[in-house]
Amino acid sequence: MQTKDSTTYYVFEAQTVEKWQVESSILQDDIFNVIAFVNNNNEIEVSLLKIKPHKESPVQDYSFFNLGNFGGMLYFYNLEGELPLIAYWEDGQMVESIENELIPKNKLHFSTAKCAQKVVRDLKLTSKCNSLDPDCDSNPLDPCRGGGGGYVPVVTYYYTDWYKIYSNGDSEYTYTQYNGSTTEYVYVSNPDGGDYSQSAYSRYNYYANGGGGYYSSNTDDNIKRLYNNLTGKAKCVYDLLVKSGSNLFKETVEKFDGDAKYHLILQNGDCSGAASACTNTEKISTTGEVTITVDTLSESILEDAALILHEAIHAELARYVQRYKSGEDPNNRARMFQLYKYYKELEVPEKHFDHPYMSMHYINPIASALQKLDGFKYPIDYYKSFAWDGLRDWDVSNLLGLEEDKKYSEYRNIVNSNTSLSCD
Amino acid sequence: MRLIIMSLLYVLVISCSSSQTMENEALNVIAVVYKRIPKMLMPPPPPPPDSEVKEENNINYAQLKPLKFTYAIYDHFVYFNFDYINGISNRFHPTKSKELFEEKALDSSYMKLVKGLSKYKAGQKIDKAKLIKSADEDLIFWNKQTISRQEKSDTDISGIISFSKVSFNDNLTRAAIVVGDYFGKISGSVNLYILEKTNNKWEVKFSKTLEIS
Repeated sequence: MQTKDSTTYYVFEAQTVEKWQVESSILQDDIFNVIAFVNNNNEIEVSLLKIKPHKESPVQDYSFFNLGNFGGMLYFYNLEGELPLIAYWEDGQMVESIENELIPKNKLHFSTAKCAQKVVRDLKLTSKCNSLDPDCDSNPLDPCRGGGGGYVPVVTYYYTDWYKIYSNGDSEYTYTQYNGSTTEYVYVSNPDGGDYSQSAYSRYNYYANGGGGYYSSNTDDNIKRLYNNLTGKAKCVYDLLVKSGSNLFKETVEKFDGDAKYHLILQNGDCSGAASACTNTEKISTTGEVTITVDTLSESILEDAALILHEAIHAELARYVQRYKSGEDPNNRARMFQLYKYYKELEVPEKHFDHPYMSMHYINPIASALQKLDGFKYPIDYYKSFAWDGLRDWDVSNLLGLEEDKKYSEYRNIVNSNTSLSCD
Repeated sequence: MRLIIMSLLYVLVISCSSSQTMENEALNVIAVVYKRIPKMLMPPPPPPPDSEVKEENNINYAQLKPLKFTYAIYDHFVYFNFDYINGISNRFHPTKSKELFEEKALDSSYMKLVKGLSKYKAGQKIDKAKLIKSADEDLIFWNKQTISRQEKSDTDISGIISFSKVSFNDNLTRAAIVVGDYFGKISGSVNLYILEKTNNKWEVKFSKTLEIS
């Protein structure tokens, strides 16, 4: 606790819980402080300060109260993930600061800390919730559930604009160099409860450290990464899935929205392998692109919805694997990797890794999503036949006996005959 | 005149012989790839203690049976309609790698093979007898690239394997082929394989999944 400008501030160290690739060679590692003070209305206002020293700046434990000799960047985030203020410092002095005009003045510096858990969900960011656990929302032991705090995403992109410097002092812009990005989730304690909205998009350009360079930073936590180019009935079914808001849909398709490195394209088109729908992840390691192509639809909306969900699971598994390969995500899907390794050792081609895992662990989530889509008209077993589509041949756990398959098929007919879902 | 005719005949014989060699090598490549496709999938191990998912059923892992696959081969070469064939990235999985998800960037000579696949447009029948001889085992052929649930039930066939024509390098020591498998409307995949011939035997060196469903 210290007083600055006649206001008493409380400064806490913040823990970086997840750190993605740090590609920049310009800056040292980040230091985060949570700053809190009581405003005139006796409300606690909180901001997240990211301190990013330049490489040449002396290495020390900088903090909000210790910026002597500091050179580098200060980023003031509010807890909605927005970046209202950015400042450039040299030798312990602020050289320049820029305020984001897109953010209303009343949200300029600090915002009241609210339910951080909701931030995680609203921003569709990673959380400690088990995405496949249907009880996640209600589990009182869930570390994501209320209280305690939550994660504020901090994504920073680095660019250098290069200029030719002439002997007469004139300069001429030549090109902009992308220096990489950093993304961190910073855990912030949660003094009270409430609500968050999604973060805004903002961009700053300001003079950096001489040498003919201009420096800009860009936060894009909420850039659209989901391109729905579906048309006709496929679009209708997709829209119904969006409207139903099932956990599975959120944990697959919507995971791409807000993930700056990957994007999902949904389109109508031809699958070269004669399938009714297919997922192409061939470019995920180079461009981050995953494409789901819907080729042929059936006469059943529920069957078509199952088809989209099935492909969405492939897409999300590919995204997860790529994040793991890139060192972006901890290996916290022990079962998935166990099975992948097991089948690799048995020389099963990698293209067949997903289906055994899906047959073991996605039947109930798919059936549950379809049940929700259909307005909970029937028990979950009535939707399992759709969920087994594409997975019957991969029933490595021998879960689906012939009799059961027959019974589910009869249920399927009943559901199809009585559903009120329509795309006409 | 006689000399000209003799020369033409010689060129024709050489040309036919070269074409025949390429066709035989193509069938050898197909046979190697087909034999490599697992016909049995062993039961999975029990989940680790830190598994991220709950078991949906009480599975007795000790009593699980392996899955057996009976494949039929589509009796025509398939042109897998890749409008993006020229844009395919050069990162492939080395098939012998012990490392999960290892990728290797292949040089332009390999990618030339891949691009060569786009020149084969038309479907053409596979010489079944020769393929059986190359594979040295009985093969089932199917006259479609797809199979319905009813047909699967009637025939006990699990899935259909389809092969593209084979793209070779000039001295027939490297090959690229696209292979599709179809188990159902949303169960199948399309894979690209790169093979090399060493000690007179074709061996799959690299692979890449192009589509999965």
